[in-house]
Amino acid sequence: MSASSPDPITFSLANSVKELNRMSMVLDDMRAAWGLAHHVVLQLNLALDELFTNVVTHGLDNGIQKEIVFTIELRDRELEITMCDEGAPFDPTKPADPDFTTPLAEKEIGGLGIFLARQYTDSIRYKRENDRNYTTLTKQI
Amino acid sequence: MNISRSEEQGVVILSPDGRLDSNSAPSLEQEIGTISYGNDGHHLLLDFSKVEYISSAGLRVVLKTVKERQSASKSFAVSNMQEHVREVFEISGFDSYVSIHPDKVQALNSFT
Repeated sequence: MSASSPDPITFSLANSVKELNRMSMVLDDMRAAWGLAHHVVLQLNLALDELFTNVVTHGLDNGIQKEIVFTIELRDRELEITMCDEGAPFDPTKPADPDFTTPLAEKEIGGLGIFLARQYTDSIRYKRENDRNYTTLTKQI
Repeated sequence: MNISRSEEQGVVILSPDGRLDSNSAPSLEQEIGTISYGNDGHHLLLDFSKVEYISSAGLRVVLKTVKERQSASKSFAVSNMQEHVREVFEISGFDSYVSIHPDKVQALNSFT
């Protein structure tokens, strides 16, 4: 194991927003193990939270217990995180950026979550493969 | 998430403690829903000094509260935001919709 490429971290969450507590605990362990800056992990946590919440609330079939698996890699000062679920085809990055010129009364905030995720990451991409949804985000540390 | 509640100068102050995410936001929304904003109601202040994290779910609860009280006789403000939380408000543009104050004293003064 080299200092710039530690072993990847893999963890899975049930499809419930209650699991967000566990997500932040895993990310905090990662922060300590890899010596990452606090604000970097806070921002990463927010991005993953938003994508995960989108999958839980919109993507996975109701009543069917499916796991959502996360893999985190660190290579050459870049974090790459892949979130994988076995639900129906669903791209959690789909909603367009919210329109900031819209008056408050009519504001459509459906895309606010993914907007925030994009602000705090360098890239987010989605693909559908082997009946699974894969969302991968990258972030420089 | 624990939400403590107090009252000062007729203003109800809610102080959530911890993370405001899609898991905890519903309980804050519910708590806010118990505070009426009609003539017999109360101004509302959210003291965010113990909120270390906010996601879009939390922002949505704040936005809903802004909308509800926009033309009501009782108003709404937020105070004591931590740096990262303030940044999320700014990045999302919510700082232009919400009455934000650095501390409780200035927030309470803004209601009079």
